[in-house]
Amino acid sequence: MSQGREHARAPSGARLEEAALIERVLAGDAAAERALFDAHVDRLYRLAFRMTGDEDLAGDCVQEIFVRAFDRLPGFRREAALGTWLHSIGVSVVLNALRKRKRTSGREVSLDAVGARGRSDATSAPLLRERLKKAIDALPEDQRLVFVMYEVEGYSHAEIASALDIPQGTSKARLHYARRKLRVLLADVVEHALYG
Amino acid sequence: MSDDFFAGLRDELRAAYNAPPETPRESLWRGLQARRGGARPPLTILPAAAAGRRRRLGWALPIAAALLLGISIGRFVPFAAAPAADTATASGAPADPADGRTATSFGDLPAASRGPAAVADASEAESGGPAPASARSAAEEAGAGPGPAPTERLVGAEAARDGPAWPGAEVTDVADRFAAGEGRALRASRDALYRVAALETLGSAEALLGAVGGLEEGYGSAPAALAEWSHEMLSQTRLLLDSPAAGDPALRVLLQDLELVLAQLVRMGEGTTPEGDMVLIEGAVRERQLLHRIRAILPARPITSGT
Repeated sequence: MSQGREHARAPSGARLEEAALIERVLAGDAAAERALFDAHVDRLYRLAFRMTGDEDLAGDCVQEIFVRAFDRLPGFRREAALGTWLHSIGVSVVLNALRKRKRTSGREVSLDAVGARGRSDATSAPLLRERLKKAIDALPEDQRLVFVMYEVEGYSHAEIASALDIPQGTSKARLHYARRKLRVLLADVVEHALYG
Repeated sequence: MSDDFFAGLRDELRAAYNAPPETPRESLWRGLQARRGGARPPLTILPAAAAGRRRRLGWALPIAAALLLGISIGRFVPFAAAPAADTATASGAPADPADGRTATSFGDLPAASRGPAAVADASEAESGGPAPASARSAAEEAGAGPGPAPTERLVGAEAARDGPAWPGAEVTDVADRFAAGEGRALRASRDALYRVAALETLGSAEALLGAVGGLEEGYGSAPAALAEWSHEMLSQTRLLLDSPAAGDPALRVLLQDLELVLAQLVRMGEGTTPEGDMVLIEGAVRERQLLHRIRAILPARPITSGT
């Protein structure tokens, strides 16, 4: 489907390396901590930034994810890949941060408002992007998260299901609802932009 | 409908929807270290460090214990064996009764400053009179004779207070008291060391906060340098806060306030704090009167004439 989904499952060799890395971290090896951080920080930061759209908040989230991860690593049962486990922490941290931000700012975009805006002239690329962004922002949070993870960042349904602790079917259903809403909201603008 | 709708949009989606910048790895890592340094309870650090020290000093501990035992016996036995007049000569120390060695051995520091005789007097006063004959016999058995040797009087006073539980209990009593005295002495030195460390940290904090003030006025160190300095200070402050010797509530509150400001300074260096927050940091320093409170604790420095 996308480039991202190709690395959905880590090969067994990588899992062995990962296990060795975890052992070193647990033994207090600072270099191993840094290696673990380097191995996962990019993907986590990308997801945090996609979801928050704020550099500071994304940075805070990533730091919080690793603080929790290093604290809880002794209890990591290794049934899933480390990346999956980190993402489950990550999703929880990011959603908490978003809820906190929503409480303080109280700003939300309604679906109607998104649909009504910009219909008169939807041909320019900047406008298309603006409409896309607003339409995705207007999705309910659980659907937005699945949509961003799947369509934008290229996660597989298996990864999304593990990270969100939901069945894969739920992940697919959320994606379906998100797509349906976006198709309605973006039909005109996409037609103009893609097919002239 | 098919996925083609979104497949055709994918590039646009990636560009349009919160396209992330390059991951600021280094600043994230530094921030993470700072947060973990601040949040991690010292017990997770100190045992490892202590274990390392134990491994390194493993061979030295039995030697140190033997030396300590030898010195303590050496300090005690001359007093018990020799008459008071000969005590100093026998132990090779000056005959000044106020040298405090006896008292230090027994950990009775206030009485110690007045010398062995005062210690014995204090013990007698505690027991409500002179030592009974039964208590004296222990010292006599030890070969000290019936003379008024300070150690004998101490043992007697102690025995009179607690009463000997079994033959030779006086000796155990002295050993217990010796151990308790050593414990008190160790606690006293630990507290003194803590005080020195706290004053040193507060001295550095005073300089750092001064530099922060300079930054706002357009001079002083660069934010990055200040953040690095703050990072070191943050670790020290955290250690002080978590030390078992941290008993002074006022000092504790001051260190907690300092810790908050230091954490803000660290974040400023990572670039995760907006520049406008520098004003907030300055405001926090002023509002909490950090500098005044630190200076109130720091000892006065000698004023040197000239520059």
